[in-house]
Amino acid sequence: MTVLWLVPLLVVGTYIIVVLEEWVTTGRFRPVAPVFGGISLLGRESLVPRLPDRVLFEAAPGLLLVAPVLALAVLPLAPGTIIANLATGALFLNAALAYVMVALFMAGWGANSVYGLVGGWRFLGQFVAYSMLIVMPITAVAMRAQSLATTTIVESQTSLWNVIAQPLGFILFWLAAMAVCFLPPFDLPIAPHELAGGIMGEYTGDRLAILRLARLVLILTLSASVTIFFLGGWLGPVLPPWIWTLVKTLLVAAAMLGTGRFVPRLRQEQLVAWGWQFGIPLALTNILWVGVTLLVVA
Amino acid sequence: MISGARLGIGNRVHRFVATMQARELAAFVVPGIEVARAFGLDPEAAGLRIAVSPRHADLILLVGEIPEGLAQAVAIVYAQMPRPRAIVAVGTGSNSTLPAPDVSIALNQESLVAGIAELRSLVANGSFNPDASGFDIAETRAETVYVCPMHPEIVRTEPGLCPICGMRLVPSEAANGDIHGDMSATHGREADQEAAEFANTAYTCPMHPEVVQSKPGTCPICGMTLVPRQSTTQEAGRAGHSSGPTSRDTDDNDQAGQSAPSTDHHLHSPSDRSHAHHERHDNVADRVPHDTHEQLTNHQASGDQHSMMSPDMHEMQRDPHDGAEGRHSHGGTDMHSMATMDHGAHTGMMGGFMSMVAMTKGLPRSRDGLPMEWVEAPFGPLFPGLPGGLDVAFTLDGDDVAQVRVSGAMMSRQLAQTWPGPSTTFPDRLARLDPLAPVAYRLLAFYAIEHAAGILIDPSLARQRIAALEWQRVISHLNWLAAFGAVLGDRWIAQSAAALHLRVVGSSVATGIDKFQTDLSGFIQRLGKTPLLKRRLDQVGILAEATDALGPVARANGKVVDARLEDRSYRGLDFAPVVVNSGDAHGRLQVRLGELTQSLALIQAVDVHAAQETPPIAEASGAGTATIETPRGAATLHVTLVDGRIQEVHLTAPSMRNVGFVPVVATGQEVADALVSIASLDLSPWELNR
Repeated sequence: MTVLWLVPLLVVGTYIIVVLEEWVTTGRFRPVAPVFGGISLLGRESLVPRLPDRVLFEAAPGLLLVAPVLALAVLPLAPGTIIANLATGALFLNAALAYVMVALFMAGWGANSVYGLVGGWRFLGQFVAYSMLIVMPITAVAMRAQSLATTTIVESQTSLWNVIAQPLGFILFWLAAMAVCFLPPFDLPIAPHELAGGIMGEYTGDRLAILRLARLVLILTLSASVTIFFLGGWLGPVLPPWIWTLVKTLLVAAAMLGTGRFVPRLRQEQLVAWGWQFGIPLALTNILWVGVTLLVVA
Repeated sequence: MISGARLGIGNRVHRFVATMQARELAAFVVPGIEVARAFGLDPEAAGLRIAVSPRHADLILLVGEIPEGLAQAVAIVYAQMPRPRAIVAVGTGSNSTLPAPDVSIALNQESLVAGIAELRSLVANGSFNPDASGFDIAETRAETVYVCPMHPEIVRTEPGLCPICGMRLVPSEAANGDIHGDMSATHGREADQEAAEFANTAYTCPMHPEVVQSKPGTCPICGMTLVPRQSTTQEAGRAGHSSGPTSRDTDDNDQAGQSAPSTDHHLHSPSDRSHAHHERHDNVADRVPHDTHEQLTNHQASGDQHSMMSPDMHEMQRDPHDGAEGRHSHGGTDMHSMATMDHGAHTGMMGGFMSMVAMTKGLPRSRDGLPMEWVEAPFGPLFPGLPGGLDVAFTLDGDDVAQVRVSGAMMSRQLAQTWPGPSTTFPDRLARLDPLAPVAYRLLAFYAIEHAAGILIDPSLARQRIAALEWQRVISHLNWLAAFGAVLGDRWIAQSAAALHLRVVGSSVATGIDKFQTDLSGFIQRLGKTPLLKRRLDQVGILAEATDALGPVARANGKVVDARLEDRSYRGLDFAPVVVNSGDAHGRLQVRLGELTQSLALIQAVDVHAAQETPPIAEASGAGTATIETPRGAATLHVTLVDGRIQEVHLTAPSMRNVGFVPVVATGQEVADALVSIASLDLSPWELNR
C-alpha cells in the first residue's frame, strides 16, 4: 500500500522540479509547460542513430530511470512510510547510484557519436571525482546514527540536524550530489555548447522523454538524500512529517538548480583534481570530527 | 500541413499531440544565435526555446543570408531533426537544398513573433499527415550489408553465416552512390574500403606481414585466413594528413581539395566517426607530395598491415618532436582500426584475434604516452559553441584535441564580385560582408572612398564616426560576451550580456546612453566577481607569440596594436588602448570588458547624439586606402575609383589574420578548453572568405 501512496508523490515531486528548473534557468514560470513538452516529445520520431550499439542505446534511458527510483525506495517519507526499510539502506543508496555512471556511459557509447562518447568519458572522470564524496559523508552520518538504516539516521537527528552537527560533510555531500545529477556547473557530460547535448545528443522522441524524466527523478532522489541525511528528514514542528520531507526536498532541489546559474562550468581536470586534493582530505577530516564529537558527547 | 510532417492519419490523438507540439517549439538557429542577435532578433522572446542539437529541435530557424557553401550543411542538419519538423526563414532567400520554408518572414522581431504564431497554427493542424513525404539527401542514405566480423572480405546483402568460419554475419552499413566517384557523396567506410580494394588490393596475414598475395587464401605459415591490405599510397596519404599550425596553407588546401562542399563538416552527422575519414581521402592528392616521403618509405619497407607499424615508425611517434608537430602527421593512420573496433562493426582491417597490446600497437602516442584511438569530429560549421559558419574539425585523442583543422571556405559568397559599381552604394554593399559588424565596414568604405577622392572630412563628421564605430564595438563585444558566456556554461553571463546587447543592437547612438552605461558597468563589476571565472580561464588558450595578431587578441598579449592610434581625431581624445599582458582567454576577456567601458566613455567624450549621416561622395577618380579598428581588429581597404565608380577593391579583415591562431590555441587542449580558446579569439567567419 505504501508504494501506491508514494507513486503519485514521486510524480508530483518530479513535476514540481521540472517547473522549478525552467523557472530558475530561464526566469519563466510556466506550470503547464512540462505536460506540453512531455506529450509533444512522445509524438515525435524516436530516431536510432546509425550503427548504434543497440543494446546499450536502448537500455541506457531505462537504467538511468531505474537507478534513482531504486535509491528512492530506501528513503523514508515519514516514520513508517518507506518502500524498503533496509538495515543497510545507506549502503544500498550508494550501490544504486553507482549505476548512474554506468547508464550515462552506456548512453554515450551506444549512440555512436563523438559528442556522446566524450560526454560518457567525462562522466567517468566525474564519477572518480565525486564517488568518494558521496560515500564518506554518509559514513560520518551513519557513525552518528550508529546505523545504516535511513529511518534510524533521521531519528538520530532529533536533537540536532546533521547540517549543524557536521557542516563539512553537508557541504561535500551537497556538491557531490550536484555532480551525480550532472547539474551545472557539473554538467560536463551534457554540456550544451561544448558537446551539443553530449550523452543526450542523439536521443529523440520517447527515448529522450525517458532520459529527461530520469534526470529529474535523479535530482529528486539526491535532494531527498540530502534531506534525509543532513536536514532531519521528516523532523519539523506543526506540519505532518511527510510534508516536511517533501518541502525540504524541493527546497534543496531548487537551491541545487539555482546554484549553477552563476558559475562557469568546471574544467574536467580541475574537477577531478579538487575532488581528490581537497574533497577527500576534507571528508576524512569530517569523519574525524564526527568521531571526536561522538566520543566527547558520549 | 508543415513540410516536415510526420506520417500519421491525423486522428484525435494526433491532433491533440500536435496541439501540444505547437505550444512547445525549440529552434535550431542557422547560422548561429549570435547572427540572430546581431539582427536584433530574440527568438526566446518570440516564445521559442533554443536547441543546441538538431536532434532536439522542432524547427530550423534560418536567419539572414545563408552562404551557398553552408546550404549543404543546413540540409544535413534538417535531415537529422526528428519529425515533425518545420522550417522558418527569416529574411532568407531561396534555398535549393531544403524544402520550401513553412513560414517566410522579414528580418525583424515583430515579423518573427507573427511568424511563430503562424507556425504554431500550422503545426497544430499539420504535424501529422497521411501524405507526408520524406526528405532524403544522398549524404544520409545508407543501406545495410552483412559482414563477417572476422573476414571483412565477406559482404552479403542478407543475414547468414560466414562461409569461411561459420560465424554469424553482423549488420553493417554501406553507402549508396558511386563508390568510385565523388567521395563527398559516399558515407560509410565500407564504400571507402571497397574503393580501396578495387584500386589495389593485396591479401596479407594478420600475423605475418611478410606474406602478401594477390588473392584471398590462407597463410602458409600459420594457416590463418588472409585479410585485405590497403595500398601503400593510401596509407601514406593518410599518414600525410597534416594540419600544421600554419593554417593558412591548410585552408587553401582544403578549398582546393573540396571542390564540392564536403559533407563531412556539418554538425552532428549521424555517424560522425565512420564518416570522418573521407576527409583524408579527399585531400590525399594534395598532401602526399609534401612531407611524407620518409613515412611513405617506412610503410613500404615494413609492408605492414595498416593498423600496425614498423618499429622505426614507432620510434618516430614516441619522439615528442615539439608536441603537436610530431603527432600531426600520424593522425590518420588509426582511423580504420579505430572504426573497426567500435561497436562490433568489424568490417575493417583487423583480422584474427588480437590482444589489446596488439590492437593499440600502431596507434599514435598521446602526450601521456597512452595509445588512444584518434577520431576526427566536426565542430562546425553549425556547432552551437562556435561562431556559426566557422568550420572547425578536431582530431580527438580521447577528449584531448590532437589536431585542429579550420576553414572558412563555407562562408564564401563571392562578394568581391559585387563590389565594383557606383561608389554611392558601395558602403552598403561592403557592410553586407559581416552581419556581426556592419557599421564598421560601412565606415571603412566611406573612409577609403574619401581618401581616393581626396576629400577631407570635417571634425564634426569625424566625431560622429567615432561615436558610430565605438557604438559598433560595444554592440559587437556584448554579442561576443553572450556567446562566450554560453560556451563557459555560465548562464547568468550569457543571458545578461544578451539582454544588454538586445537593448542597443540596431540603434544608433541614442539618448539613453547614461542609463545604459550605469547598467553595463554594474554588469561588468558583477562579472568580475563571478566565482571560479578566473580559474576557469587562466592559462587557457595561451598564445605564446601573437606576432601578426590583431585587435583585442593582440592587446591581450601586451601588444599596443590599435589602428585608432593612427587616427588624429582619436588622439585628440587622449585615447590609449586597453592592453593586458597575459596572453590567455582571461586576458582577452579583460581587454574586451575594458573596451566596453572605454568605448562608452569615448562616445560620451565626443558628445554626439545625432544619427550618423551619409556624406556625399564625389564623382572622382583615384586610389585610396583606409584602415580602421573594427571590434575584431584593424581592417584595411584599398579602393580604386574611376569617375565615381569602384573599379578595384582589396580588403584585409582581422579575422583572416586571427583565424591562424585557432590551431595554436586549441591543439593539445581538452575539448572544453579548446572551444573556450577558439571562442576567446572572437572570429567572424563572415570575414574569412569573400
